[in-house]
Amino acid sequence: MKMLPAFLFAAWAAFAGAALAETVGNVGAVNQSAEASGRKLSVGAGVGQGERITTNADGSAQIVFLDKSTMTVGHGSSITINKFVYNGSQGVGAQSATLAKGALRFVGGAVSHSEGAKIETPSGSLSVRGGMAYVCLNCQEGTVFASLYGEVTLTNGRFTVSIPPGDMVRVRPDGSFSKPYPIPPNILAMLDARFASATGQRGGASNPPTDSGVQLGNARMQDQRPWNGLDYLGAFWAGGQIVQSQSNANNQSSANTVRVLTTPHGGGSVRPPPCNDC
Amino acid sequence: MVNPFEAAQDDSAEFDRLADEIRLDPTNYEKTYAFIRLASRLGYDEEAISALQRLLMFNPDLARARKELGYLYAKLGADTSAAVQLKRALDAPNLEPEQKAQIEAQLPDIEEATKDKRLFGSLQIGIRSQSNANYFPAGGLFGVGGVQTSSLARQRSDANTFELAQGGIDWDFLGHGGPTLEMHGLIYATQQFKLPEYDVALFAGSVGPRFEIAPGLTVKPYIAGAASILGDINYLNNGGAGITFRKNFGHDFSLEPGFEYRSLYVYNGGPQLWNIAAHTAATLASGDVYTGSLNGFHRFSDSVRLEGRSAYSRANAVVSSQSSDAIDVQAMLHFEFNPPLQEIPRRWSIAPYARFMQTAFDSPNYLVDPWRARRDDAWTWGAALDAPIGARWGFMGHLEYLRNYSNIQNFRMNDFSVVFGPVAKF
Repeated sequence: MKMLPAFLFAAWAAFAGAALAETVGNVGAVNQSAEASGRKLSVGAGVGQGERITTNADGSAQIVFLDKSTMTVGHGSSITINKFVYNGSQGVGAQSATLAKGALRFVGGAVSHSEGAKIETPSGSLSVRGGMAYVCLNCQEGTVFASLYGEVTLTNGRFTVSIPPGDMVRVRPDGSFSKPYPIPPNILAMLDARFASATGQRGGASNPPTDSGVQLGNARMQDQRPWNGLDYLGAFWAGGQIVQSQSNANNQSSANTVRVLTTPHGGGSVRPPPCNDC
Repeated sequence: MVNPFEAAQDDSAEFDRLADEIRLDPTNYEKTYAFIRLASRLGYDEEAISALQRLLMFNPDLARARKELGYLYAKLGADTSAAVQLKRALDAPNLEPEQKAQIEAQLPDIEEATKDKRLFGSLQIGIRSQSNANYFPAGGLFGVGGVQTSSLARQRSDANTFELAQGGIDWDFLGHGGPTLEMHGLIYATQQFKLPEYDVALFAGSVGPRFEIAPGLTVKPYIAGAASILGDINYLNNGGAGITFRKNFGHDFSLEPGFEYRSLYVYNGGPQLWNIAAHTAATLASGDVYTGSLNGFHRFSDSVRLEGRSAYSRANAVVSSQSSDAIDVQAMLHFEFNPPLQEIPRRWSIAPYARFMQTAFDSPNYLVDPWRARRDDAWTWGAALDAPIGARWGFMGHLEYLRNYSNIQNFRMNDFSVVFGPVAKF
């Protein structure tokens, strides 16, 4: 009987621990089937540290973390949120996840901008500092790591490669990495398709957004090659400087002539000495 | 009066509040759109991208969100992703024509940015009017050998037509990730209405490879040269070489220190008086010029950016009265805004600017003033306008006031100029 209170306490502690597991983010969108630690995910539901999220061939889910970063879990994937710590007032923390299979799209938030985020995979560990990256394990193009923005580094203990924005790296059969090269549009489309809702899927929204309700304003894009105004003015300034330089000389010549004409004979000449090398 | 610091704090608090609300209630679209608009305005582009990706999971046919996503990818330099998204938005049947026009205006440049060989250029033809086209001194008086006199000449206003072509090619000649050969050039020509002796033709160019030596840090050695014609004679020519470094601190801030040497040759022809070259009182003279410079760029927000340049030059001419030290500081603040008509696909920008140039000559010019070495403090204030109308054409112009505070009356002058004309960009 003496064991009963201890057992009850242990059971309560285990239950409370699970129930009060710290929420590190919420489900932003979900296409079924997607589960977290065995429970079906729903839009807005909390996600805790240590949870494993799995999707089937039709499933996908976007997890929105407290630091505003997101991980989108692609079709047929399994990911575990290893660690997420975030100090909102200082904007620092730690973030890591393990992708065991499938595809992951990461878009950075405050933590990745300060300490960097880490995505562990069987092929290597991807560090993302302030950026956006894709990982796709055993996709039709093989295992692919791609960077869209920020500092992205892939390492597996034997090899390390820095992936510039817009580039991707393939994992060779021997575990080494290819050189980074630009992501071909068809690969990018293939990667995006891993996370996209299929026909009839609505990401878990009962009432999806429509074009008529879009409130995104009408702000034009920044120009890809912004107008370099000082370069533009430089041509006018250079032309003006040439004219000014010569007109100074011409104006002076005219004044010299006046000075000669108005100087009384023998009254002191301004005629300068010859200067052949001026 | 709104305190900018408090306004920024309010925006940041609102951004956090909206982020929390839509995290807990992702299908609250009104707040999601408010969050995207605010995030874009504050430069939290990744956060806006995440929200747009979520909307597209709810509705993959939301073309307007896809266009916005492409726009944000392009802003961050993810050009291939941007092109993929923008093309899909363009193909969507439900996107409004003006939104499609905006995409069509930008997509060629975004696709060009993904290529190894990137061409760019512009051509402007216009009219320039000047209140003091011959840069005549404001008081009309001259020093000649230290004695004050008047001149037969007088201040002349004039107008001219001009043509300005700028262009270049950036070529990753060893393929992606390798160095970039940058070849840039310009041609500028003017035709004065009343003072044809001041017609100018200027040809300038530079070429050099840019190497990345560390993440975000590039170096570019280059050669550069220029030639000009004034009236109908060759005037200033120069050639030289330089090296420039560029450090990008993210997408919004960069610094570019550099050093350059140029040899100047000023043609010594033209009318002669007492065997003395007509260029004796000119600021430009044959010799060597050494320049150290620091240029910078900063984007404060989605719609406000600053260009800045500063340089110190040492010019060694044959005679010390034409040798000089010069300081040149330029700054231009761009305000980009939406044009007045929905159909106009690109942003307009208005850009106030200022320039200060101090030129201090080594010794007096005895023909002008035997006791004082000339020192000019030239101030330029102005505002420029870039007003695209179509995807590839529009209008550009600027208003400018130049005032030179010289310690010698011969060179104290001011000039007001207006420049305007159509421009084509490709």
